[in-house]
Amino acid sequence: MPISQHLGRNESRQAHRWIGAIAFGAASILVLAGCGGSGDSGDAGSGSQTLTFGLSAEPATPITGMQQGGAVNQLLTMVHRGLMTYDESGAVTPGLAESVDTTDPTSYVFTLRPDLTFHDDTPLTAENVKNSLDYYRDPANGSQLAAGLKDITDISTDGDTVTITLAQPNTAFLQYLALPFAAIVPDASLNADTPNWVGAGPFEMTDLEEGIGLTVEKSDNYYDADDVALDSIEVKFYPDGEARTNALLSGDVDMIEYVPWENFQRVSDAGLTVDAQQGPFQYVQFNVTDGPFADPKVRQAVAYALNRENAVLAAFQSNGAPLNGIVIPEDDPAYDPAAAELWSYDPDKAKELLAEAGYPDGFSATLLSTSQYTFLQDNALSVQEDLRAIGIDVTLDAPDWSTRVSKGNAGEYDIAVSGDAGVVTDPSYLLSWVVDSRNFNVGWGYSNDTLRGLIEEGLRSSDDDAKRDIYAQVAELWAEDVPFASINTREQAYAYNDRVSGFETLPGFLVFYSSLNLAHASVE
Amino acid sequence: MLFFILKRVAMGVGLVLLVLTLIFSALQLVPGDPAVLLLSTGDGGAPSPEAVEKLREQLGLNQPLLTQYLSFLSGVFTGDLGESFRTSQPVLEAIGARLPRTLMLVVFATVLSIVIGVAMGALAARRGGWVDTLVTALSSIGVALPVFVFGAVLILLFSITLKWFPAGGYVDPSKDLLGSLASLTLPAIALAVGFAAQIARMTRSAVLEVQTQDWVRTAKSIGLAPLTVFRRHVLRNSLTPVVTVVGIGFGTLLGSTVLVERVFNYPGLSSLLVDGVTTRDYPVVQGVVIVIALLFIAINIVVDIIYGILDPRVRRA
Repeated sequence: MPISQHLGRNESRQAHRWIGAIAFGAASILVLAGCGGSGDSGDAGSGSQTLTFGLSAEPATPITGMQQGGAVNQLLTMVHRGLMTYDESGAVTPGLAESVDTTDPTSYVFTLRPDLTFHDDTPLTAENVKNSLDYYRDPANGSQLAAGLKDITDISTDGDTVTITLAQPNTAFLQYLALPFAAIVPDASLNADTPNWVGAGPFEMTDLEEGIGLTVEKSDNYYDADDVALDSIEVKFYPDGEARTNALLSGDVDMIEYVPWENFQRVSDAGLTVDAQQGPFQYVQFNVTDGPFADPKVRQAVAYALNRENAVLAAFQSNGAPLNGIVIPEDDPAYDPAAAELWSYDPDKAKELLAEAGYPDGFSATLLSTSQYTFLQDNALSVQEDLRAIGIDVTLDAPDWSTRVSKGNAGEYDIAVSGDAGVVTDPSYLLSWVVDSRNFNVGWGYSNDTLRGLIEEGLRSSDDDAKRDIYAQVAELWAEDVPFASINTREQAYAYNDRVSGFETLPGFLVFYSSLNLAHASVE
Repeated sequence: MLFFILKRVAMGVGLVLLVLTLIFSALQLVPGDPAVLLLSTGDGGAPSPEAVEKLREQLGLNQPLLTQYLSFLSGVFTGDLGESFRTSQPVLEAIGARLPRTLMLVVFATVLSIVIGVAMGALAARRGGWVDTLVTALSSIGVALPVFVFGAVLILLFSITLKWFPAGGYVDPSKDLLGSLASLTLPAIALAVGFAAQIARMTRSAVLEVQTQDWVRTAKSIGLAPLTVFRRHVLRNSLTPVVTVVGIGFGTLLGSTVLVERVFNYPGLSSLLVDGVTTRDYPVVQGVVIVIALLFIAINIVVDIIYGILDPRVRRA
């Protein structure tokens, strides 16, 4: 017999009333919440400027001197400054240093700005500068600046000057000092255990909510505090690109970084600014230890087989540009547009080259990519199609990023598709690809002493014409030997609503450091 | 009886040990070195071997596997789940912050599902005709619609076009109750839709079945008003199977939060687990899996014991 038969009429009615009341209550709360909780971007009263910023990942804890990727670098540019920095257009300019004197190309005298102070109110001295840079240039500390600062032989201090002596001239030296992870920090931060938050930059990290976001507030200790308009930046973490775009479109945030390519149009159609720069480049890397790809002719065949227009369309919805060679940034003395035009899309020539190399009927190969980053997978699919067209039967291997990295580090592939950017704009960034560094993003087993020699010579050459000549030779060798076969460059974009003014992205590889310019931005 | 309870608890502890060992080994077998990964972000080159070594040392990954395993075990039994490789936050603290958020979402979605599902199902069964057809069609769509598609539609309509609700994120209810409800609404609806459709179907068929029972005919024949008959005799008896479905559905909902938390950028336990897996953040993955396993094992033990108390035959089994 059903239990309800034992209940009297009253209980039953009461129960029913309860259900009604709950339903009504729930409905009214929803309506109220909807009206009251519509995404207001933090307006903290008059005169206070708060920017809400959507970051593309939950950042790892910053470790002093380590390169931990885009999201962490964005935050470092907010809280830190180095001896040098990048100005609004991307030129290297003194940061904590007031001036830099170079009597000869191996000696730099930095004069610090007066009364520099860290966020924790301790003074920033020439001694701090020396200690930070000594820490960064020691490979034992696991610093990723060790390679860039390897030419330093001595750092000495005198009052508010720091003198750095190099073993040989180095055209990229000042650029390394401007990197977000090359900032001057208190001595207490010079270890792997102390989170690298305390700096002398425009903003101070005041509140971190794991998994949600963090707040940085304007620091009055910053040397250029008078020019900083923002009182605070509320950073929220959005690992998912679609969620990040939605947050901008709905007004939850004022600004986002790393706009997904498929959303450029959607964002600008909504009347918001998409501020993009041609940044990183995508390329095919080769495992040259054995098999067909050990032969430069086969690598050339790949370089001629790629339909780069198609890859730009497929992977970036046309928000990129084909790349037929190597990127030498425009403001570098070595810049020559010809370096970016080493090959062309010519399947017939590609087939000829394959035949010359002894593979008239092609062969099979594995192509390593990752499914975690759609743009890399889409580029890989385009490459797979192009290579099949010339007779190379390519099987795609697209695991998650972590597996992709470990397979790449172990050379478990024939070819792979990667994306990368120079950590500095000096074309010496190309070194990694020619010294057999056995990393996931360079050709496995590839080294070329001639190219290495030329690039190192370029790094030492303070004469502009000489540097251009050197890189003309580099380009010529690159075309023949193909350490990597370029596919395209991609646009990296920040997007923001009309509350934001005074922000601009930095050109080329520096686009990842664009948050430096938040120090010049303001919101209404 | 006491022996029975002890036996059940001992089995539970054995099961926990098994889960711990399984999750530890599974993570070791998955390719990818956490230290390498933390420094290999795709743009901006690759880490130096020294950097990786330094980080491995700091994370304790350079210790022998057995040492790592034993310190992990002793950590678990002393209530220390270690620290996240990526954010250095104590794992227990991260779970403590995120578990209530996910439970909040699931509870909210469950309430919504029951209210909507029961109402729609009862309506369909009672009215029949085009209402029944419409509800049946809607519930078919609801069951079939992927949660992320529905979530995207909700955001497009209510956040971007109408700007009624935020497009995602989390607001602490203790700081801003209304804002918190607002940010919970869309993800809860997205989470609820499939479940509500299930409940609606269940309610509808249960009501149709109960309506033909003898006592309903009797109630009608003694002249009770049709609505009273429906409320007192039909609906209440139809809800028994629905309650069973709700019990089972809770676990399913917990699984669906993986997608919902991603779409709505909701910092719950599921996103912690997913991010932990993608970044090979061993302590985080281990911690979350342990907590979920403990939860299930504890619930099972309690249920077993209650059965044992209620039914002596179980004890002897």
